[in-house]
Amino acid sequence: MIAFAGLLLGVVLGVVVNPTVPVWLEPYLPLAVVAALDAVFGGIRATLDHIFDERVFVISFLSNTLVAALIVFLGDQLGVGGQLSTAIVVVLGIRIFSNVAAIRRHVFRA
Amino acid sequence: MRSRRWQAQLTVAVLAALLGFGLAVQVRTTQDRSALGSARPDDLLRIIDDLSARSERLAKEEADLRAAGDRLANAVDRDAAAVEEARKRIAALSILAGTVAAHGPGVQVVVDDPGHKLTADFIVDVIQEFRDAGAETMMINGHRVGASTYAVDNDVQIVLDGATLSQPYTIIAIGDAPTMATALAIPGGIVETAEDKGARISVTQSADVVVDALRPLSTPRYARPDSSE
Amino acid sequence: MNSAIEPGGAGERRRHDRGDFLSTSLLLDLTTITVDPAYLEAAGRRAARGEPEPAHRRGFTAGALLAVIGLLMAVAFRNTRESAPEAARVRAGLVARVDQLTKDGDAQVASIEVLRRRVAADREAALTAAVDLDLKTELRALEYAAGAVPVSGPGIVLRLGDATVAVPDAVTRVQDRDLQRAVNVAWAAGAEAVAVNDQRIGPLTAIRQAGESILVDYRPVTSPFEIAIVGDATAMETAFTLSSGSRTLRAIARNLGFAYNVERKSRIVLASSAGARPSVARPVGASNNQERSPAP
Repeated sequence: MIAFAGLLLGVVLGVVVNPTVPVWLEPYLPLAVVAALDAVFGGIRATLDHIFDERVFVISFLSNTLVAALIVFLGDQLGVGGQLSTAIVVVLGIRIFSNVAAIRRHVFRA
Repeated sequence: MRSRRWQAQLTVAVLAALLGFGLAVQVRTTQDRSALGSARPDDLLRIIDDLSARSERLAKEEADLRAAGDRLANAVDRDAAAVEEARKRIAALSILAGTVAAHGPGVQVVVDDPGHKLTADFIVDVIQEFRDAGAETMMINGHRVGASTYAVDNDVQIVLDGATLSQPYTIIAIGDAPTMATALAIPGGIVETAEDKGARISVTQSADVVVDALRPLSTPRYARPDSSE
Repeated sequence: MNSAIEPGGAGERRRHDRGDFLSTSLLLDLTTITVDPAYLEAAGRRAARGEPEPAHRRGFTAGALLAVIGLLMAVAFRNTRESAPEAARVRAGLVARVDQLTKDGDAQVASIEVLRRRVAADREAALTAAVDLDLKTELRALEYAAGAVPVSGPGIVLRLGDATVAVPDAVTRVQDRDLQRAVNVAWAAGAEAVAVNDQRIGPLTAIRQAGESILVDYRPVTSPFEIAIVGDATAMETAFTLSSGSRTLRAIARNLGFAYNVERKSRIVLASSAGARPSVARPVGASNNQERSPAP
């Protein structure tokens, strides 16, 4: 409950404050969001599996985001930034999809 | 039990309908993408410039025609006024059609292509580039260029309107000299194309050039003036 | 409850353990091991130590982190929505302007045609004297040569269209060159009048590329292109289907997958080429003032 209140609070804050994103950060923002979504759905899934652990949640989110950003940064330096972003989005996308599928099975049993 | 199966079928039907709708919309949006839809802003700005210039020219012609119509309608001696109008139109059209010698500001382009690497496509390109840059009339090696001018290859020679062109190719065009010279010199333009093929090309701007080759008038065998609305 | 999900979790974990080092099926792992292995490992450690499930002990850290995530999403959302559509709005504005100018120009052309017809009719009516006949004939011939009157007659329509591919690019699109070639082939085969997408080709009409668009007489035209040609229909048909003149054009159309078809017509009507008038060119021998007609 607190968690979702937090999520809501964040969204409201973002919409109201509307901060400007530094240019150098812009390419990483969408990836950070996808990584965050992966962490969130992973967390929900773990909660439903009764193995949720805050420490794991926090670490998985931070490391996901960081690693994603790092890979894209490296890719940018090597000239394959776009392709690597796609790779990350594909991998995280698959995970998000199957986590949502698992959540659906828990909730609807179908 | 029966109602339940019915319900399931209804759900499936609704979902199928949604899928069909989605497909139709997607196909529509994919097809709707016009050529302009993907044009870059720079290109769009250029098109807007061109269209504005065209609109100005059209407005001028419209005003001229209106004035001519008024003169005809209000003339005391209608026959004399009509003769005057006809002469005026003939004067303008004969420059475009190439039946009179013309002079005015313009450029002279001389192309020497010792390797015979330039083909008829090059001449077609030159004519188009000149027209695009606002040339009002031109001649190539003493052949007046008209609407129906064509260029074809005959072995290594270029044939213009049925006459073989000898080298060097000399193109003289009347129009705004700086505009035409700039158009020829753009990257990927006429000058660069010619030089890439090993040809020597020179462009000279002049305050007064003479285009004195004449183009014979042909009588159409199939085309008739169309008076239908 | 806990035991109910245990088999699945353990199964996933076993697969994971096995695949840790020697997995040859990365993609399989990707789709089967969906729950973050760290959760399972943490759960395993707790079970080993005999601790109860930790779940909602505090919840504040997760809440704070989720707040950050929410903020992130909101910012990213605003960011994309503001940057992309800004450019799209500018472009849409330009496209609308092009469309408007094109429409205005077409209306101008239509009104010029009406005016031209009226002036021509008035003039013809007034030119009744026998000596005026030569003038009439000369004017008619010049108007035809300059494409300044609409004409009708038999001929063909050549349809040239972009290749149908999912992602169009410069190669699969018809270019100005292709249209220029087609018009050139038509003139070479003895065409008497040519129009591209209803734009009559006059002595001053250029066919040029502007980025991805093609301008005929400075007016944008789009695929499919209809090149209407008045002339000997049989000769035109031959020129575009068999003759060597159109070989390059046909090869390009075939290799790039352009639509290319030729249709005979017993009657085609072509509009006049409007707005063509010399402004700096003067007849040689005449004074600079064009108001005076040249002396006979």
